[in-house]
Amino acid sequence: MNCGKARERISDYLDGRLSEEHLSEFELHIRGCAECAGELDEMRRMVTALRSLAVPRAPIDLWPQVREGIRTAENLIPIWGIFARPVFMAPVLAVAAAVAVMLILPQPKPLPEKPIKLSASEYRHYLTEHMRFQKRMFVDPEVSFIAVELDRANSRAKDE
Amino acid sequence: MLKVAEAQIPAHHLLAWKHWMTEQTDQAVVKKVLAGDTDEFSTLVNRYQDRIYSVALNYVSNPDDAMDVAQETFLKAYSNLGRFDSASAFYTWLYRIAVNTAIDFLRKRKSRPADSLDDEKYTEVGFEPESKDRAIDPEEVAAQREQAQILRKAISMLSDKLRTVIILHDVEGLSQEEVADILKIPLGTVKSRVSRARAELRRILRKTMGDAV
Repeated sequence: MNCGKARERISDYLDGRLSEEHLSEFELHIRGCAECAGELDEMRRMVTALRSLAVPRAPIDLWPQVREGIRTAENLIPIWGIFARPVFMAPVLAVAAAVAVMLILPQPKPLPEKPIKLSASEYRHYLTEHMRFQKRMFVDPEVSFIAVELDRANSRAKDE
Repeated sequence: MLKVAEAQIPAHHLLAWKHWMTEQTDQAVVKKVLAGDTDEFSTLVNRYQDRIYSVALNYVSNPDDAMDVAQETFLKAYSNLGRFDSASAFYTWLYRIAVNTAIDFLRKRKSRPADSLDDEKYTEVGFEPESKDRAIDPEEVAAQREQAQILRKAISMLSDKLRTVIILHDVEGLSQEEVADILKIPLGTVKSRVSRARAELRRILRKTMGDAV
């Protein structure tokens, strides 16, 4: 093992992550190389010193401040958390999507009301048939009105 | 009796069992909070506040800012508890929030001048002797504080990715597997980042501080 390879493996060696084969090669190299042994020693001291940076205790007023933050922000947030779950949100989102689609899609326009134009003969035919129907069904109290209309139409046809 | 029992169980099994027990409790607490027992959230805060504050302090290098980051971490966790995937470990989820919150905080802070590492507040926490019974050597304490300041300044010069693995793995002592879970990256990536981060940190320390460490 050369020095470059040995230095690459210093970190894994310190973490105890070298395979048996690499471990014996590494230790053999370190025993014979003062420079790499010095590198290993420096790295080991640095890693040990890093561990001392961990703070053993948080300030005692952390929880009271968190509690105050929770109260100030919104007490019902966890409830929202529950409702944010798919089982609750899926139907809500489905309805919302349907409403959105209904609002976005173009609505069918009502058909324009076109006045029906009938010729004189067609009008007479309509009146005749309509009067017959009304007489047969005994439903129209204004059959006389239709009869008058029909007479007028017939006389107009004679005049023409 | 306990020693006998522990000796008969392989160490990694014991750790896994303790971990499982903790996780069960975490999941149960999360369920209670989601069910409306919001005061139960204090259990989770009490359980993880030391670790989260430590991570925060090692990112931002200032006790006041660390307090803000830790507080924001727990508030985010509280408000997003409904999105927590109960199949994963709660603490890895919490660490992830803390890391993202701290990095966001640092990005925002870039717009204002960096706090001095000589700030008196900086030395208020974290470096006092672990036990009051231990004989206190003022020179040793001062040397430890200076060393911590140098190291934190060097860590602050790393990129976000390298800084994160150094803080989680080397400072907080989390395993590479745990770091991979927290950052959602492959184990091999964590391993190479740890190696690169240490080499880079060593280079920075040599360049800026000499052989102080």
